[in-house]
Amino acid sequence: MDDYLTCRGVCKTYDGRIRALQDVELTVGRGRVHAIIGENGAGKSTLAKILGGLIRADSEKILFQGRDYAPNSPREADALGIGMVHQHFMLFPSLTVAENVMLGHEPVARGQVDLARAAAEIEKLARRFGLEIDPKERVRNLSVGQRQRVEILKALYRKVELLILDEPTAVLTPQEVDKLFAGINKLIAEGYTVIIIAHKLEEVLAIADDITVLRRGRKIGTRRRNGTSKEELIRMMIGGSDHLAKMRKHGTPGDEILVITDLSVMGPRGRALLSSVSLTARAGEIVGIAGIEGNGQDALEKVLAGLVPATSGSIFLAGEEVSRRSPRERRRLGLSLVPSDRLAWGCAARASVFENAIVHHYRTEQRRGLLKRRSLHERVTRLLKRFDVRVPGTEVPMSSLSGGNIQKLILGRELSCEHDLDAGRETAGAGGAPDIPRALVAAKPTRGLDVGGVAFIHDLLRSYRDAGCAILLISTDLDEILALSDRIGVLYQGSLVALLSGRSQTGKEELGRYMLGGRHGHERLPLGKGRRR
Amino acid sequence: MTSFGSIVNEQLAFDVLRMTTPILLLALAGMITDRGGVLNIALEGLALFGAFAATLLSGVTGSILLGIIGALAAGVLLSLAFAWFSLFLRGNIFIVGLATNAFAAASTAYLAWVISGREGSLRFTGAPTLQGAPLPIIERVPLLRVLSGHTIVDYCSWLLIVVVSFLVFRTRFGLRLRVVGENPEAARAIGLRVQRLQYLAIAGSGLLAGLAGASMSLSLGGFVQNMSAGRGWIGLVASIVGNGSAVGSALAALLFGTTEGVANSLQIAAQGLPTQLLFTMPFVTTLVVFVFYSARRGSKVAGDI
Amino acid sequence: MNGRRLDRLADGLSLLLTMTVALVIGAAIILLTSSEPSSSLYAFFLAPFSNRVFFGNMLQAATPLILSGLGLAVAFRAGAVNLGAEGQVYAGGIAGTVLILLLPWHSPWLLVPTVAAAVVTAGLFAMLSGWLRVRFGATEVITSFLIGTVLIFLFEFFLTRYLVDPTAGFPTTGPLPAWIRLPRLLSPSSLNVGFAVAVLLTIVVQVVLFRTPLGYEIRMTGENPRFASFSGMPVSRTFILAMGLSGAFAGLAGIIEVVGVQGRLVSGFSANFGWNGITVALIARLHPLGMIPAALLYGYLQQGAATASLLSDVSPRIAAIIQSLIFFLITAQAIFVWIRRQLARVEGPTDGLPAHGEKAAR
Repeated sequence: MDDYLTCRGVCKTYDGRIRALQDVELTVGRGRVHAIIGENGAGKSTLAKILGGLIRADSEKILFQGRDYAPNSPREADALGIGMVHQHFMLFPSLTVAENVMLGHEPVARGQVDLARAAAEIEKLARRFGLEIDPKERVRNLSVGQRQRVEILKALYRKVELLILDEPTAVLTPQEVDKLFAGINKLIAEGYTVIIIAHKLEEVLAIADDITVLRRGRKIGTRRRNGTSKEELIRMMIGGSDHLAKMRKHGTPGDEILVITDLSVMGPRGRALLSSVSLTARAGEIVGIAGIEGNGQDALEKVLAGLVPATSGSIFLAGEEVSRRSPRERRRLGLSLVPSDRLAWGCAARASVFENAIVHHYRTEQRRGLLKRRSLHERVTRLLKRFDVRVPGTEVPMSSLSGGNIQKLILGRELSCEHDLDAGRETAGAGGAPDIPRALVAAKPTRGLDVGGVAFIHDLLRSYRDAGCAILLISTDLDEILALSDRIGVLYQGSLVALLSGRSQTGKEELGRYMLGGRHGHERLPLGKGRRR
Repeated sequence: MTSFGSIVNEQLAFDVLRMTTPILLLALAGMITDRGGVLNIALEGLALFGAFAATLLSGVTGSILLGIIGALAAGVLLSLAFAWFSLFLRGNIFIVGLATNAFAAASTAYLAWVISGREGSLRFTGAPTLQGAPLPIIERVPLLRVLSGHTIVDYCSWLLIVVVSFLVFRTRFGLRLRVVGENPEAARAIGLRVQRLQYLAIAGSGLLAGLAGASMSLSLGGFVQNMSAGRGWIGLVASIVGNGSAVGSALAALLFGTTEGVANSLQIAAQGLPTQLLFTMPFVTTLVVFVFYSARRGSKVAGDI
Repeated sequence: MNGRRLDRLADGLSLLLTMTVALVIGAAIILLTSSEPSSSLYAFFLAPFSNRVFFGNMLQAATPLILSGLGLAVAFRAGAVNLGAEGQVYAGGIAGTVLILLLPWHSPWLLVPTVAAAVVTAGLFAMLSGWLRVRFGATEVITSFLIGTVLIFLFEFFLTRYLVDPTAGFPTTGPLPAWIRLPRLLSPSSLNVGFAVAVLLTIVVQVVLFRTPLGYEIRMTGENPRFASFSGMPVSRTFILAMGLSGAFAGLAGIIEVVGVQGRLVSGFSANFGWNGITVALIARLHPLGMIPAALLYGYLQQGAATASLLSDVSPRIAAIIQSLIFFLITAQAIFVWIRRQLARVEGPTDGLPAHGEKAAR
């Protein structure tokens, strides 16, 4: 292995409190694909950002091409030959591809920006690496896969030699992943070096030559692809057994609980966010809704929560129409929802854990106008215990919890509105049990969680399903969908383009096709009120 | 009651153009910072500071030009303080803006007292004021002649509409500034110096706001405390309603300037009308226009207030 | 020491630093511009404590600031910014005065409808801004300022047109009847019952904000309105209500100044109550109990400037300059962060839990 890029003793501590990286050592060979994997919080992104010049490490000794490498900005990093493609694209939707790519290095003629010259250069680059793109197209009209290409072109335009890709496959369909990997191979063939930050093992094993595992800020080890196995890598990543390969228990679904008919939601400027979606979730089953981010999941989630009015169509919960009811009333009738964007909708980040947890009970627990603190505290303690939320105390701000604990708390809170928000009445529970909601909508429930957190929540969802709850699982994680769902629907551009039974051997490839718009293949299922397309 | 025609005439149009100048300059100042992602609440204070500096320097040196230069410098200086406190010291940009206004009001009033001994105003005897300059051919064309006879600052402000537009939409600086305003995090990741661009935008707005102040005090011939009279806010609304375009902001500024001109004319022409009520006209108009604009623009998500 | 204690310590220290710097600059200005520096400095810094009148006036100067600060803090907590408080003070003052002049009662009970009129009028105008935001999306930052400015003009109009006493040399009503004047607490200073009312209301607001469902709703609405709405709270209603309360407090400050201190309705009776209330609220970090010391500080500055101008040759406007400097400095978040970092360095870094909002978001 060439010592093309070597890092030694890389350390980074945030705010004097959190050790993100401790004494990490890394060696990358030239012309190879090197993957850095690990769970969330392992430090992969921090390392990538240091290499990309976004942040400075506290101490490090990095050599690139034999010379000291310590960039103070992404710009310097580019100039030194290392470019980064971010997980969350840093693009400007209102500008064209050309403008986005050349930003920061704009060619200037007579005081004005020379767009024509930039466009020509970009086309040349795109052809060379098989990254077809129209430089004059505005970024907001591009698909996710195309936007990623723009990001890559950005790095190439700046003449980098080593490319860092941060979680590149997180938002791609299986077909787009193939295209990306083809592009990476082409880059290697042309002499570039690629570092991939990832946590999806199958993909990593498909493309990487060398694999480095990080855990809790430390490097555990480096392996060649040929010299290791998936099990060994997982063991290095989490030090435990694999929870993901769990058998699916097939329950027997009962009555139709959540019936969605012809639901449509119109967005700004006349765009249809959701088009005539119909589906049913029965008691004791999990219906998974797959799809690429941005194809209507958001609208579906919000309209089910009662935050956005449906333009047409209806939602019925156990026979009662809830399409026009407020979030509070829906909860009272037994519909719980766990939002996908935790920090945006699910909690108040700066408020304390206690204040976040009592949000469904503060109205009932009061006496003579004042809140009953003690009984509220008891409730919160019970909630935290039941859902395994680990906190140093209830007065700490919500944001100080780890992502897993935040999600567990929110999940637990939404599942526990036993008592009505108006004093006295109880929620209509599943099978008469007052503390299980009739229906649960879980949107991206394990996003960003580590393997342990994912396992806990999956177990939780299964147990609620077995107890009779009807669960609608909206997720962009295909593994999760396949692991949990009894039936799977696919959203594409706001329409439900497929509704399949999870029991047949539906694979990711097939799902990926639907996620891209293929419309064949509805199985004949007793769908009840749902409409077949 | 005085006739309609005696109010709505060429004199009114002329006055409107004259009174629009400070608002126009402040609107352009607001537009530049708005494009950079900064809501410039401090325009009011910047203009006040510039007005004071213009009076001081022109009074002491006897030169209008030095007065204008002083106003520009004062505007830039205060705006840099504003920028430093909000960008470097990371103060809430809102509140720093309010603090800037408060500081400008307090310090100019105090300095006026210190220098002249009189509470709240500063005037130098024999100080030069801005004079109108006739435009050779235009001044003889009926209707168009309302464009002639304005001061050099007025003419500059019209020119600045074009200059600012070019700056923001055609130059490299403008492109980068717009990008910063659209998504500062992404801009930083690309390697753009976000803070530096914002500093420059704020300094530019300080320049224009200082000029606005100069136009106010040098026309009047002296400084009066709080003479900016809310124009900073009106200019800010004009820049918002103008949707980030120089021309749009200018048109909005013209609209608000018209209400000021009409109020002024009515006050002179129809003696019976109460002056304070007339003075509310520009603000009420600004309010109504702003609400309409917000209503049309709105795309609210539930839970958003 | 755990994280929160460190936060509070850093907070206190940065506050202290801010005050000191502002006062030092103030002293420097006095030194530079006064021809009798030592007596000016004495008059400014020490004279307010030297006799009953000055001391009482100092406490009284704090009263409208406590009230205004309370109102603004309640609004801020709900996520609302009320920049029209100045106008609301005037609206309250004149609404109450009108009632006094109209109703032919000869008893202190007249105060009840008077105060009610002041509070309701001012509150309604503030609510208007809140409503415009909820209904049209027009940010209350701008609308409250514009409406406030209009209110000040309207005040001047109504005062000079309909209420003014022509025999007086300046825009004011005649003296208001003795039975509605607030009882004095420390004569011959202007300290009156209004101060006690302000202190009482501070405690009330503290309890309401932290121990009642309404206070909880207000705070959660401010923390994250989407979350509050999703959880079923009446977010829009709470927002408008908070704005209304903020106006009500400003109106109360106005009427107390009129019937407690001035004894008549005078043009310009508000010494920046609405604006300084913002700074007071910020110094108090939006905590009701903190309003009292913060307002007292401002009252001290106010009185110091008054005595300095009385006994020496300093302009009373020096107070405004120092106040605006404090305003500048308390916003400097970076000072807090820097101090916090230094304190953390003393403690040493911890391991493990990714306690960052940043990491939790992934």
